[in-house]
Amino acid sequence: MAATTAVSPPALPWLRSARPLMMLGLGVVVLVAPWLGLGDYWSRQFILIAILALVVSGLNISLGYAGELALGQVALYAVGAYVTGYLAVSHGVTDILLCLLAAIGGAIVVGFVSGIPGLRLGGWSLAMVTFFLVIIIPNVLDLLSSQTGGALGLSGIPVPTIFGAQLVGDGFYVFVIAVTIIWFAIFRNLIGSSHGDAFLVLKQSPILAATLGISVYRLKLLAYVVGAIPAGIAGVLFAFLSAYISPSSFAFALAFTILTASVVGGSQSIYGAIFGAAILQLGPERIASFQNYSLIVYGAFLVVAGLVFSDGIAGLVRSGLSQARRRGWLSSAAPIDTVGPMAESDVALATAGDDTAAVIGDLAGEALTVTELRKDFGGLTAVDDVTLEAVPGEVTALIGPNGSGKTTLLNLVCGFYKPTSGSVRLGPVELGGLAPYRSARAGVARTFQTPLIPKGMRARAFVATGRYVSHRVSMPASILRLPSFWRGSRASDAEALRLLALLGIARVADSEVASLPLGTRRLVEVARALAAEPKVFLFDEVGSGLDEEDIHRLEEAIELIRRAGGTVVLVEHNFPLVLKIADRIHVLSQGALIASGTPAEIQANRRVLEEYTGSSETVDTIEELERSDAVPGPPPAEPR
Amino acid sequence: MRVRSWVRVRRPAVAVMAVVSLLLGVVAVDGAAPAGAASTGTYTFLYSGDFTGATMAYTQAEVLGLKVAIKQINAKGGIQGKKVVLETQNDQNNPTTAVSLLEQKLTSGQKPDAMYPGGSSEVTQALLPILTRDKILGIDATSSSTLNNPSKYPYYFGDSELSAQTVPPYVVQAKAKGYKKVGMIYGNDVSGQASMQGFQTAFQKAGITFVSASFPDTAVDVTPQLEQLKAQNPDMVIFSGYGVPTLYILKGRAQISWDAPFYADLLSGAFPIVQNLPASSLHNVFIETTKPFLAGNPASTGNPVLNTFVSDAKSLGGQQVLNNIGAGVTAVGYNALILINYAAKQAKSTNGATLAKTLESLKKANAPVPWLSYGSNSQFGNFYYTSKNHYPNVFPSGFIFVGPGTYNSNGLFVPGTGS
Amino acid sequence: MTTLWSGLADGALYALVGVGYNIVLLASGVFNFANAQLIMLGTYLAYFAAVTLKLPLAPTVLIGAAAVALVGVVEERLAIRPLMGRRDSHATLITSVGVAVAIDGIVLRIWGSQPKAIPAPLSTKPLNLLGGTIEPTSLLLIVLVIVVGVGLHILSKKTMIGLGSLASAEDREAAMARGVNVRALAIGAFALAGLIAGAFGVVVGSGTYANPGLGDNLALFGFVAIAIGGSGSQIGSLIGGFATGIIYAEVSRYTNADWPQIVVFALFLLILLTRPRGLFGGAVERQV
Repeated sequence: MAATTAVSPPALPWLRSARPLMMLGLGVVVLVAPWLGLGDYWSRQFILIAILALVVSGLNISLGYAGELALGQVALYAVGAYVTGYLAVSHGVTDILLCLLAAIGGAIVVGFVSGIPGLRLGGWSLAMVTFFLVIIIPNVLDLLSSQTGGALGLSGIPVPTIFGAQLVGDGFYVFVIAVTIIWFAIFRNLIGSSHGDAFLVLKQSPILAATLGISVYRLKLLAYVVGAIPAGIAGVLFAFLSAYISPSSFAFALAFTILTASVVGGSQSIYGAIFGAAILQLGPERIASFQNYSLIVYGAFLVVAGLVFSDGIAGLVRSGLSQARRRGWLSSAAPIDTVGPMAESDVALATAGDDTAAVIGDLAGEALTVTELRKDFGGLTAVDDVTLEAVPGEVTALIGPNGSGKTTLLNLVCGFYKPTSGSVRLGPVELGGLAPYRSARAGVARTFQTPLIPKGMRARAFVATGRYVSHRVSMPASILRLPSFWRGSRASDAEALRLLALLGIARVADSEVASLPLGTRRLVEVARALAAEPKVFLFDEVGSGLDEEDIHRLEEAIELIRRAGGTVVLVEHNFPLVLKIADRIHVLSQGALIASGTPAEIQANRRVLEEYTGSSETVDTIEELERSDAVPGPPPAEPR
Repeated sequence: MRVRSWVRVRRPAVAVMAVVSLLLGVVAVDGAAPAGAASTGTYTFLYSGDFTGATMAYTQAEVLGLKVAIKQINAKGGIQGKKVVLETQNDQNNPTTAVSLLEQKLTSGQKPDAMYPGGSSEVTQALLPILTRDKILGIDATSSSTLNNPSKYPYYFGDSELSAQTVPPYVVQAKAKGYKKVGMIYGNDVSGQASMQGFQTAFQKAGITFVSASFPDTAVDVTPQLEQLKAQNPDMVIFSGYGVPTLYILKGRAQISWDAPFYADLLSGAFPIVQNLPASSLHNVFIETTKPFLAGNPASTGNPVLNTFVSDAKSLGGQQVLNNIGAGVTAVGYNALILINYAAKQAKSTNGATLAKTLESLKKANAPVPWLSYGSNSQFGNFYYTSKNHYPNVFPSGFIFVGPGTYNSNGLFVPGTGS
Repeated sequence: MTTLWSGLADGALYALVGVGYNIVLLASGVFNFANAQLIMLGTYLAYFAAVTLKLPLAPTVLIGAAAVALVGVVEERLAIRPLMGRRDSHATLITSVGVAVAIDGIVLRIWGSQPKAIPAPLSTKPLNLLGGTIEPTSLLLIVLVIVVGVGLHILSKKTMIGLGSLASAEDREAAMARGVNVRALAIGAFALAGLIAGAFGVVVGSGTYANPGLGDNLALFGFVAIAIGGSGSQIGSLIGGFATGIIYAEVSRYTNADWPQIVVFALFLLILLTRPRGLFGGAVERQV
């Protein structure tokens, strides 16, 4: 019986679907608040909160979703404000829509240009480049002082107009809130689509993203550029609100406030940006009243905020709910069993002869042909002129002791390494030298020994990411929720469920994948691979660490694929599993291919056994091998 | 209980408490508003400044000055019978915060009768449109010429000289000594740049070559900039920096053994240099100060208003401020309310707009004038504003160059022996 | 040449900040924003001991080292430890900045906003070295920072403690499983960073004066030093710090105040092209 680690369902599921409506309702209330008695002071505070929330949401996209610490939001915000200031003061442009357009354009350009050096190099470099960008703001503004007013700032920014009419007082307030609502709707639609899932994948592991066919570089840049838009918008609003902008409003302290607001609200939360912005807007102003002790109180406030809100507001809600459950205030939801034995019907389906082709679809596998492939790392030859082939409808296994080059070979196929010489072809396409994401797009699907699973994703969403590239829904369609979005997302979801059911784990469709037991996670990965409809499956140590039950299920899954005509390459340590399901086995040792053949042939091959046991004595039977503890696991079933 | 588990277990509760107290704080501040605006019996003066940052010391001095004025005015019955009340807000030198805090007061019905709109030009610049919109009288010592705009800011007056007004004595000095080239090292911020421009214009007009080098406020050392200037061989160097950079300038100068005469601009001269530098570093260093606050000078010794001011300041616990920051800066706060009181007596009103008009046509006061800073008989300047000029009239004769020194117990400047 | 000496002296200061960041980063994967404030605190304690209490040099240094080490330990306990073991969280950035701001406030409250002069440990007569002048104390600062930086580098690469720290920062759970006492390492790192910051109080403060803005200014430069030299390497901090100092000084010698920062930025971008993690970077930043 597989371990029944409880996986709790999402807290208060109704909350999830009601949330967008609730937020919209709240938005409308805020919008009409002036007519409900909201005074000038609070109108201004709400506007300031909205402005900060916009900038924070930009950071959430890069930090919470794409996983990049991009501190440059302040610079983009400054661009928005100064573009507006310059247009309004020097050229008399007061139309707010024009200014928004110009500011967004400026922010995107600056975001793009400043993103390039950092993004290509990742995490730390991006953080440093964006940090620098912020600290040179006053220097750049000063150098351009004829346009920006330099250190003295730009004053006398006129009242904004829209279609000729002035936007003042309540009118300006309504505009700001409306723009904020629209942006958060866009943000939410984007995150709540396959693109949001792609960002999460990117955040967890760029390797996984590449394996899904996503160009990591392009997606990161996209995240950064999309995050630039709300910052630019916020800049426009701020410039018109204050009528006066100076470099001191765009200092590093603000970058830090934005980061804090993001963390406090929850960097991965959509609406958390608003909450975080509210706290970081209202809190410090209150604290200013402490006069001489302001700094000390503010410091303490930050420490407490960091300690208490380290998981963001959503984390707190979850904590609160689980505490409530522990105390019996809320009923505990019954835990969901993970994977029971496959249902009879599923087994029937799975083994019903050629009809399975209809169930799983025709996989249209291609032959993977490796010809005299070589990979040298400096003085070390990891893969030494290996030639082998994996054909559709067969399971081809690659075995060998540690360091034999199996994983390197896989990586060469996937594109993580470039071959020193030789070729790797998938059907007619040469894979050697292709970037990993291109290799994936050519039809290579791979699982990893340690499953790469993003946090915070449900199984059905994760499986659907397999189709992100092949059945792509455009961003505009996702944002605007066009019919093509609904069609695409429903189809992907249905396919994901179908594949999970096929593998007997339909029950975990709504569970968070990262918290599932290893065996189930492996199967989810297989489902994800299937979703991409690849031409070849590369399974890397997919059986390691699994118990009997899980291995059995895995075997059935691989069998399904084989029958449907897929090409399976299995890199394995688990000899009995290999003997059981492989059609052809290739044995590697120290980079070179030392034997190829059917399981029976390999079993009888002394050289192979020597390599595995490291013994110079020959071993006659596999049973002897078992007894010598060299190979793990129960006695294998009869070889085919 | 160990912090870690305490935090984890109690987090939701703490968060709820935090949010609630934040909201309560919000309500409380609004709710605690003393009923109504300038309620009939009092005259509210609002001071907006930085209580926690680099300019904290100036804030302390100005507030002390205001308190002295309030003490004196209230002792005589207040402004037109209304007792003066001082309110303060900590804008942390941040324009947005300053505006928010003022707006908060305005919308909760606490409109001040007059105010001191910030201690730096950025803050003042941000607040002035509100003053204009709501017709609030404002007086402060932010000396930036762009703010001297009566048509745009009719209710705002400066009560301290513009940096350009402090410049002529330097030109006079340079000419007298026959200098051909003058250098300036300054901090690259708003006041530094303004100061530099003032000097540049004046020296170029006088036909004297002017060169300059700037340093960022965050610098921990300015020797390279000094080297830059030294290489151009100026006969005289003017330096401008607020706070520690002043010390870095003089320290660096000593390190590179540069003995050319160094003159502090008015801003830097107010900074206590002497106790932080050895006498050898202060050789040939001069600061510009004003005679009415110079110890031993007839303009200070002969001023009864000054004497009363000093003793009142001490009685309010301002001894330390007088010792460290001096009577001159303190007087800036004092003058603001004294001028308002004087105008109110003339107009027999406390209405902000009326007072603004009155300030533009003040009746000449007899010696000793009730305000400080330009001599008891207005011999060095006056506050007779006009519809074209909302800054004081300042005569170069009021300035004098002395060696760096300290303030005595009366807050008057005592030149050191280092020069 | 004088400019070059200034550059080295300033660079030593930046390197010192960077070294402090790295001590903690290498041992716990946390970026301690408050490190520059610890150095500032060191200068104030030097003032307190040397001027207020009129103690001679040795006790001043000891008091500074001990007191700031204690502050470091307190910071670790209150603001950092509760968040450890929490992957993927940027909350320690926030809490360490909170500590930095609180220290700024405390210093302002206790000592006010006027700068305080600290007597130099060596004579103040400038030396004439290789054609340029430099104060003896500045020279001492340069030498001491190099010694400390190199010493720490050797410590981290060669000793068990050092290697254990690297392991702990790289993967905390794995290190714990191997018997590395990660908690002690974290405490030790904060204490060490504080100790060094406090011990340098006299040497640093006699040049910069104890003033409340020092923390913020140094923090900025320390960041730049790490950006150039790469985080996680003590040698990198040294080189990054000195390089930054020299560049700033040389550029300031010939241009106005806006250019040094921009030039350093351009240089940084250039370095990124060839060495994406800074000149010597490569370890450890959990947060980023």
